[in-house]
Amino acid sequence: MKRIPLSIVFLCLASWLGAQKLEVKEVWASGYARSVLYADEYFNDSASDSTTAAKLMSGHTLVDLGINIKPSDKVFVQGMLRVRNDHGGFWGSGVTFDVRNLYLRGLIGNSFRYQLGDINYKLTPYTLFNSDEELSRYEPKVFQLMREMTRYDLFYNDDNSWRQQGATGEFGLTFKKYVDGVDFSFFTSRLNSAASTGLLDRLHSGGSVFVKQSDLLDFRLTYIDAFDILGTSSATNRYSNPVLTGGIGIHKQIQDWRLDLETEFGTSQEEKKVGESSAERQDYFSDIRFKMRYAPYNLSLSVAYQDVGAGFRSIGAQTKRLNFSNVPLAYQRIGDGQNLRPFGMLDIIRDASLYNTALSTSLMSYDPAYGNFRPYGASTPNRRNLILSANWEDKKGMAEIQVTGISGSEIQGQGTESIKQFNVVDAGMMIHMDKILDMKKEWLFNFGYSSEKTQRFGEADYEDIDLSNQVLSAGMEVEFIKDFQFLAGYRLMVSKGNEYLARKDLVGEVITFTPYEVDMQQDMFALGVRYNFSERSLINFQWTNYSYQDQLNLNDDHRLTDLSLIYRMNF
Amino acid sequence: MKKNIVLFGLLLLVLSSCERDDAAFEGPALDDIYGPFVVLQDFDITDRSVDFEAGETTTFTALFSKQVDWEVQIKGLESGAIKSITGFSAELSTSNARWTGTTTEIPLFKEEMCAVELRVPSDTLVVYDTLNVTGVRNITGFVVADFENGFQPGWTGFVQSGADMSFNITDDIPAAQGSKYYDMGGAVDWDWLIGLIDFPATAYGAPHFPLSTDPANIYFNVMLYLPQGITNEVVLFQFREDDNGDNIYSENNEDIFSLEVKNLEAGWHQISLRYGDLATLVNGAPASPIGNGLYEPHKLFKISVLFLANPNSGYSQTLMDYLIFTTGGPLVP
Repeated sequence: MKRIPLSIVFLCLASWLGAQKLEVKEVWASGYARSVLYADEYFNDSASDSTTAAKLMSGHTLVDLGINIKPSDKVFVQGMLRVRNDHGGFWGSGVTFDVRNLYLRGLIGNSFRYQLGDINYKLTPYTLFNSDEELSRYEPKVFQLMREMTRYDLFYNDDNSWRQQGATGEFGLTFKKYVDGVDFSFFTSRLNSAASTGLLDRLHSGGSVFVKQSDLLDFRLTYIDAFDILGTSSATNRYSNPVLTGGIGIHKQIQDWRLDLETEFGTSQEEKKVGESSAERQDYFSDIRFKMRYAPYNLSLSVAYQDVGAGFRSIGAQTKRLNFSNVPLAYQRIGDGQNLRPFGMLDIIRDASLYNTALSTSLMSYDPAYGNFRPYGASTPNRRNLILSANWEDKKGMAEIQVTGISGSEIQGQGTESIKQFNVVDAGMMIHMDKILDMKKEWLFNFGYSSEKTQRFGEADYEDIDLSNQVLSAGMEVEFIKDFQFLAGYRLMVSKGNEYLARKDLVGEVITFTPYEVDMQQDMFALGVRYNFSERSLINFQWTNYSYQDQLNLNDDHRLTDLSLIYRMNF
Repeated sequence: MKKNIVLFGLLLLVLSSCERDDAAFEGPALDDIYGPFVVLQDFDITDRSVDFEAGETTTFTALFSKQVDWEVQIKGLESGAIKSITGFSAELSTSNARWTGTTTEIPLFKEEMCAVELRVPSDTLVVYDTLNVTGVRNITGFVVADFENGFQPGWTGFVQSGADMSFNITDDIPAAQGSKYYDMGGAVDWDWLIGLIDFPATAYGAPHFPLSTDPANIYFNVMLYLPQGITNEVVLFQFREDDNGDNIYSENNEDIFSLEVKNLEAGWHQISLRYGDLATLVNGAPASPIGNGLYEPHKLFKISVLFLANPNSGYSQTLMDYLIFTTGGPLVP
């Protein structure tokens, strides 16, 4: 976000409003506000540490004030300012002003919708899709509030769209015969600014055409490209990444069974030139998913086959949220040696500085301990997977269960012809105790477990890989007085084994593999009380205990406790 | 429904026609990085008696079980010249271990026996061998002086009457090239100048040196040796141009470009400078050109080498060898 003086923004806004006064039909304010206070305490039982401060307090108050203007029935403008005051700022020295949102959207001829400025856009999981970050599934509610704030700050929306700056447009056509309708959607955004980076201007553009032939049959064609505009600077670096995908959906209702076949196939090309180095890649993927839903039992079953080539590249779908090169803000250095503290589960839910908001033209680095099977989401290259899943929900809403099993492998070996095998089991359960016991106040219990195993057996010992990651989650939320909730949650993460990390050059060619070993355990436990003023505002007080243990590097062992008070409201 | 299945089948058909990189694996082989090191083919030399003068080359060969850092070092047993060839690979072959007679650390190789060593630091492997250089390679360029045949007619010199003066051609230590070099040394406590030697173009049979007109393409090269303990040496090379082409150099009217060398480290060094990068110096400081200010190598009239030292600093000495003009780049030793 660009930082500009608040007074200038308000002056511009006021003068603009003044000029438009006679024509403006509606103006209203909306926004978001929160106040956060963290009181952390640091413990180190494994190594002597007389240097790191034992206690640390931090917090802030912020308001996102959005001015919504509807000058006509077909035009809507929003400008949102963020005023943030870090606790401890003196006489306004800790205050920052940012423009958080600025866009204009409207309708042309009752058929063409457009938006200019800040846009949130997504296409398919292989073209433009902001995949969820690590350790975000089956999250107990007591941890969700911090993550929600982090995601809100980073524009990570529930629909997995990417926040970009540019323009979108969409329109649809309906037909009387042969085809029910055709929907068109397209966007363009600017990834690089030549003026600020010295590199070439880079655009990211694309769109999709969705053809609904009938309730039984539909087609989708998607194209997206990230490309440099020659001549916008003297830089010689070049990048382009066109991705073309298509798919068919076949749907059928047979008595109580709903059958859906959804497919997506596509190819990608990538050309990258950095200095004297250059690389070209092209590959394809296929994703075939068959779902069955038996309505009387609320039971869904699905089987899917995925094949994503090692050279498949799609920056809009493969860019990660978590940037594993970053370091945490809280207790950044620990120990007498003041070494960088490895970030962990607590940081992931509350530290926005660990995240990335720009699309990356390289496959970002990742830590296999946090997930080795699909670090880049569904479009993780070099994977061939068979996915089975089942989902059941009690008719009265008393319980929900979902189970997924994946058997996967690499398509191309990494430094050896032997390929890695992946076995994943993922299960989650939600129990609505209030419905089971017919209580009026809400009592929810949720459990989640995921296990991921990576193995490779080669001809030589040094080719062997055996890595095991497991995450266990359990949470409860109990309403004990109307609108008062007691929250508790626990999460355990265990990672043990070995892998190789691919080290790449500037254009993404693997230059070597470095051994990676891990024997680490993290756990996090929290207790909290929450009062919900309404659906849109709450106050939350909780205690969180976080522990990090690394058997291979005892100096990294530490424990943090955090008392937090959070007030949050949407208006 | 049948139509849908046909469509779906067509999509699969299109997909199956896509191409995919059929490399067995991505990146370097793990065997090359983490596998055991074994010599599969012993170290060998394709030509153990090599005549570089006749255009011959020799190649070092070996085959290992994995990629490693390796170094082949050839040392002239008479000259002390050293050639080092390094690489990271599993095989030594013509593409990465061929020797054309060049030198990494001067002196230049002579016709001599050479000791050869192959080292693989990661495995402490060392293999020793020898080869014989029967002819040194030809170096293309205009040689101003290599001192092999003594003080040539036309060269002139001046030596102050100081103490321990030694402006002479000698072979006390291995020369940078051939066997002889020019020794400049002495102590003069009343003047910076200890001695000088002039190389006029007339000594080579023409009023101007036979150089091309492009100053960006002509390089002046010289090899200098600083004895241990000497720290006060200043070697000044002067290049006088006959700007007006009258076959006479007019002091204070025509260009004189300079190259000043000092603060050398002990041992032989190659000094190379593009003609167009020579400077106009007055008392060691950059100054405006004296003549037309144009770099005109084809009008080079005389080269002077002045050996200087601070008169209060005592004895100084520097050895000089192989003054040569090359075209297209610095001298490749």
